[in-house]
Amino acid sequence: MTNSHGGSNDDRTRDEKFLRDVLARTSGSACDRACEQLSDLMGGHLVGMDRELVQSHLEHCEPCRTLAVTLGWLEPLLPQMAEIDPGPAFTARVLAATSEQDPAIMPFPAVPTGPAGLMDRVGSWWDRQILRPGFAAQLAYAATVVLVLLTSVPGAPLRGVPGKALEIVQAGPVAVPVVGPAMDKASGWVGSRADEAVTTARTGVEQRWEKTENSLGRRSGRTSGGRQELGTHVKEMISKAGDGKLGEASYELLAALKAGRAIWNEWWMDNDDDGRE
Amino acid sequence: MDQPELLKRCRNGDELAWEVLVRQHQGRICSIAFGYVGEQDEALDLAQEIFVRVYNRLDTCTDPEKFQAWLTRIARNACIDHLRRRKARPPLHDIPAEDMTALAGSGPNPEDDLIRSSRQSQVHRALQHLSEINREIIVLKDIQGLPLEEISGMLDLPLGTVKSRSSRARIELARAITDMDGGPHGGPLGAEAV
Repeated sequence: MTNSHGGSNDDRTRDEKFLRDVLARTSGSACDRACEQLSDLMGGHLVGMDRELVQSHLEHCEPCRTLAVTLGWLEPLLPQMAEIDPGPAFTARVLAATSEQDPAIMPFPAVPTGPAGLMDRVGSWWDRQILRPGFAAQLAYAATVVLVLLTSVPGAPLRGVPGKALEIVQAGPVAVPVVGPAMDKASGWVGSRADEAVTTARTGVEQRWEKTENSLGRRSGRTSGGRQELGTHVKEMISKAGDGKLGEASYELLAALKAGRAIWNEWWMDNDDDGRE
Repeated sequence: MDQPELLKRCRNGDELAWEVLVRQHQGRICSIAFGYVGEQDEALDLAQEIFVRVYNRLDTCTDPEKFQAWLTRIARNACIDHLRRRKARPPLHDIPAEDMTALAGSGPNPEDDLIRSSRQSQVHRALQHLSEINREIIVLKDIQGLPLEEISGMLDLPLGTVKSRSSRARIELARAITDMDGGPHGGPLGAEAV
């Protein structure tokens, strides 16, 4: 079996082994150097002697040749991978996910600067944070740590304050040096105003009731005769109707209505003097 | 479509404008997410999360002419955050590389599509074997085609470093692909090379 150079495969293998042994004992493998220049070779940037040397190496080194072939198809392939089609459902998924969010609405391109910008950024940051799961627990934990540091560590600015606050709460508002007198004063003022209001209201109601009572007495006295007459006619009407004497019962009914109208007139006859009762 | 006007409408809560903006950029964002995480469902979820993040931060994009760069930066940061979270809680299953091809675009020739799809799948799998910095450079420079200066600013690396890293990253990617395929002798630069 012969190859294109006229030598047998055995001869060639032997030659390659010889070369490899020599290189191993002298300069070392040339593959690293060839690999360094492969990109330039593929890009057409390698010229002259450098190009010939690399090509010569590739002709005899199958692993480097394989690498060069791979680089050859990578060159046009990689830019083709810049965009991929995620499928029609992807856009819908993104829109669904973002529709649950508040857009970062802001007149374009005004991005506030200075204190306003800082507040804006802090606000945006806060809006994002509060949507995070577990944020409330983390915040509570952080607040607890800060509170402990401020109140319990020796030398802390608020050390002892919680104990005092607890005593005040247990003793009530009077125990507060500033609040106690103010509370007393306010309480006295409110009490006196309330007493005055109650007294005024009570007097008014009593006067009104007395007036009403007098009026009712007068009206009752005036209508006593008429009420007796009305009662008599109603009793008679029921009696006649029970006996089947409907004609006489109807007369009694008319008489009762007449007595009722008389009572009505007598009841309201002095209404203009007393006003509405 | 006028990008600044579109952005302005989005910021004013115009749902139609936002839909158009998402459609314009979803292909790129999904591709970036794919490049970083290398798994279809995970990448789609991440891409969705990126868009929600963008929606909530529209007011921070002060220069509409640089919206693309701003968007890429948000996407990149979200991907890095996601990978950090994933590192803390690794997935229970191996990443199914075949999923990648499902999102590849289709062309007129089915045979070419198959080859391209297969190679894209290889690239995505190989990306997961690269160092973090090399993967970022491949995704941002070779796939997304961002200028080196922009990548330099984004990765907070000197421009020279990004340049020198760029060719090395591509070699590393090619090497990872050939290694995954078994390689003629267990790898192009293995002990049997030359």
